[in-house]
Amino acid sequence: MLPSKALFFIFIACLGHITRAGDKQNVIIEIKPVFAGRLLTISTATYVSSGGDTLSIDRFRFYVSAIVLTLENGEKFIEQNSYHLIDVEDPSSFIVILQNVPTAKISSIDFNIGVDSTASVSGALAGELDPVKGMYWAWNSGYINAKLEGTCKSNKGKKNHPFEFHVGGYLLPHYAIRSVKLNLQTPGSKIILMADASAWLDGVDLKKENSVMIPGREAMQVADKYSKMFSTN
Amino acid sequence: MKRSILYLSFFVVTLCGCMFFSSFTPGKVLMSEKNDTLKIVVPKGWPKPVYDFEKNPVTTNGFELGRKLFFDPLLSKDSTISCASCHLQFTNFTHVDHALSHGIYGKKGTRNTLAIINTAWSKNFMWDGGINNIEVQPLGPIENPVEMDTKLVDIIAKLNRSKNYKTKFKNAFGSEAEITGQFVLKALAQYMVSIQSYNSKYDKVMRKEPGVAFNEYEAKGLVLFRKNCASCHTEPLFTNNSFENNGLRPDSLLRDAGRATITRLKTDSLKFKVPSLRNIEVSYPYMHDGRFRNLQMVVFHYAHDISKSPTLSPKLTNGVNLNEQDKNNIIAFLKTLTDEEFLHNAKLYYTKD
Repeated sequence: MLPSKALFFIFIACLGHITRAGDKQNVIIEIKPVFAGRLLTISTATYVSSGGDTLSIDRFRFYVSAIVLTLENGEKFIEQNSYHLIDVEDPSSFIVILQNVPTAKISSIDFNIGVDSTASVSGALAGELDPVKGMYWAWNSGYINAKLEGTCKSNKGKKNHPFEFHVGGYLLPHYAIRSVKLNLQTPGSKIILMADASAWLDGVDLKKENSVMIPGREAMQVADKYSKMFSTN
Repeated sequence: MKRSILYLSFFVVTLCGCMFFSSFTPGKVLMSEKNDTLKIVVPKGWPKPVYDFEKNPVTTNGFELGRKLFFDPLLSKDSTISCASCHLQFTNFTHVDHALSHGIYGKKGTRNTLAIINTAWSKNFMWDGGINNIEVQPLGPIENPVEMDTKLVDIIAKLNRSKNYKTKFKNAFGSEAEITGQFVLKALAQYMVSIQSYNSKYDKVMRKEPGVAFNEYEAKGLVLFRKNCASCHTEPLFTNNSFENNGLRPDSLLRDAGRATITRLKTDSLKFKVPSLRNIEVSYPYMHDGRFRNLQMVVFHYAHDISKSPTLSPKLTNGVNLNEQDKNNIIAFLKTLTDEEFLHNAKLYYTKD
């Protein structure tokens, strides 16, 4: 009697396990850096901004944090310890895998561009937030949420003149984190997001505005611009 | 020597794995390890430390690794400058006789080296308060082109070439530990938060230790100090952790806006960190740009030479009224803040392994 009862429970346990496993999926988020729709190549390719500047991009990095998926049934999947540094010079950083997401259609994705203020006051952190990544300010504590650096190629701006935008700041009123919400059209477990560097330069005349390196009003304006750089198509 | 057994607070028990600790202490032992080689104390009457020890428990191995890093010029680009180049223990972990310190390639900075003491009680670091946690404080000098001029990533590459360091990181942070930026900074923090000064004559008088008393000048100096200085240099830390414009005439060459560099607020222009006055006797020269060579010049400044400007501390608007004897008394008192046990504490010395 006892052994068969035990077997029965093992059977139920296995069934439960299989059922649970079937309920979960890995969701792959692929982030594709682009410039005005063209896949972005570092340094060697030239692009034209909406302001009419010919330019190359030498560095493009940003944090994606606090990822939340909303499922078709309204359920939310919240990634824990969710910090991902996306770096155009490191293609392995383009893929973010979310594990154990309930199997259901994903209707939208929410995330932040940048690092929250709590992490910015928490001393030396590990992994993606390790200051060794070069995204932490030495002289004025806090994370750099995003960096865009490049070279202006045209005579319109200063020829071969560099531009540099390092955007961060966690203290109000200059808290430069930005939230993004995107509705997803495609069902399935792969989400492709375009990150368009041209959004940073929307309406910008590089001759006049070519450097933001500290927290403040200017950084907030750049953050507003790049908060619109993501699309799903 | 009075010996007492102190019951450690609950989280210390989990950190240290020991229930009792036996030693003379002038306050609550916050953290300690075997053989009393290392202990962090909250002296009686002090506030709770700002630093979160739970997130980085100080261990003997971590402390010793931090000490090794602190004294290692490997932390600079050309391996010539260590933290200790400008922060010398015998002089209160600052750089005496240098108004502005020189770093790598003999380059001069724009500010006087700050002392590193009682850092676990400091809310922010640097004269402008730009750094918000002792753990990330070393990034300032490491990346500054006139101090160490390097990057954490390059330091880690150098450390990884040393078997000795690799072992020490594992000993400090676990057998799986690689050398990461986080661990370099946490080890340095363990050393720096252990740099504690609380055994000056002043402390002993306050604790009513037998055989220690102020002389007449020191006692009068304390009364004057409490009346005229203590609203900013508040006991027992001798700082209120704020930023003030103390009426120094702005230096037209350095053009240093102080706290406003960080906050970008006009109202913070010319404000600088209120430094602790512990061990002030051996920390000369004084002020953020080291303009005063001795304490006489400092006291003269407050008594006779306050420069008025919109952000001047309201406490100094009417100046500080002191006669010559008062000034001498205040200086006599300030010298009771010198802590010889701390300045010569062998545990903090450079130690070859």
